[in-house]
Amino acid sequence: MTEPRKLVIACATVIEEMLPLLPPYVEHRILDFGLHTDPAKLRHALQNAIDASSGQADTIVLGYGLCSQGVIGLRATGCTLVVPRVDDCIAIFLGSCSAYRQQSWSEPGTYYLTKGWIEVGDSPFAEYERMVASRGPEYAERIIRLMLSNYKRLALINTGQYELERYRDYARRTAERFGLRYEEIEGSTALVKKMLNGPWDDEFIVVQPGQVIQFQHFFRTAS
Amino acid sequence: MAGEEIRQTLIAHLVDLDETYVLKLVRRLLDEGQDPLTIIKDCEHAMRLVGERYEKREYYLSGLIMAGEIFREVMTMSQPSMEQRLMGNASGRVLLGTVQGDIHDIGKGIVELALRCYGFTVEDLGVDVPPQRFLEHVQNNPPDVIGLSGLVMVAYESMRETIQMVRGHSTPGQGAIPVIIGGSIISEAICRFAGADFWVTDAMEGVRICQHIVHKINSS
Repeated sequence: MTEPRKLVIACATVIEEMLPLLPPYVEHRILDFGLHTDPAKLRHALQNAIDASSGQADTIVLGYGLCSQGVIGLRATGCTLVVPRVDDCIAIFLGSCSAYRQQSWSEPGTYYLTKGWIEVGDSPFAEYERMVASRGPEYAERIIRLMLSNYKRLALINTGQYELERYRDYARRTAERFGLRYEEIEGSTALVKKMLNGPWDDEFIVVQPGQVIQFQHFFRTAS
Repeated sequence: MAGEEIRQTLIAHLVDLDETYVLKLVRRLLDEGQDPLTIIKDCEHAMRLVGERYEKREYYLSGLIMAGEIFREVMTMSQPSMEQRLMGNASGRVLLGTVQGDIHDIGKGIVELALRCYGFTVEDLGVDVPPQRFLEHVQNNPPDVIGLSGLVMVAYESMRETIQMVRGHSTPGQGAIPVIIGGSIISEAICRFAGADFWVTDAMEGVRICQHIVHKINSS
């Protein structure tokens, strides 16, 4: 029996965690990280990538979560879509939706960082540096205080997939600079492994060819 | 500058995030006795244009936040003139809060100020507010409208839980208090999931819905 053909379409930050575990026979496509700020654009880019790839796979695994509802409305006509039933990539890095919820409930005011998030420079801290350069330190300070209002903790997720020291230094310094409590949280590759190898149990939304990913799929309690 | 020209200048400078110019111009317009409502409506229009710039990635998040700050300052300056115009016309009471599990409140702050500008009495419970706390306030001092704010996915479940709890304890014979959910990525799907009556992504739209609700209450 031949192995079903799988293909991964993932955000640039998520693929970093997937690549070390990706079997050589599984193809992947990477989408720009910046799309996450515009759910409509993200949806459009994802649908295009799905349409362009659906003849090449039996199943497409999306390296995304609900992601500001960017995945809602997606469909593949010729293959099955699989997407983890999670809020966003933070849950993927932490290994499960429940691990993310546990972190969220214990400290809702947490800003999460990973290697990918630090490198793409899409965080209030990177924006602070850009603001200092373009509008001066006073302006930058005023805006970052508003951006971080109610945030208490900066958490670096250690997924074990890369050398952490450099990112740890950055995260620690950043936390100190902006008066946040620094913590390092153990990540997990458990969900990434399940995304790639299954089983696609109730931690996943599995959408058959022609069906659409819907908002309520993300909530087990939804009626 | 003629009236229309001044309005376009105000809009253009807010879109360019020119705080000093905008505040100076608004001060002048208010001192000249211009209608504060028109000023706020023009700023609202400018805010939508700033949002478009963010979507086109011409602005980062900081641009949105700065625009919100300027809008907030304009509303603070306009509030006394608005109060004078609304004198004697109580607009109703709104209970506001960011739901449990979420701490984002920039949008909620703008809604609160906008509501006050339009004469509403607002009780803001802050952030990460448990359903039980909303219920206690509803029972002790029933508002005309409940506004639940949230950004992250955890918030959608908290909104649902809060609405179920408040509805489950409503006083027999009295209608359910209308609930509006708000936040930058709130949608019809989230509104249905949470069981809310209305949803908004725009502060001024929230004010208009509150006005509509209170008008309906007063005329029934």
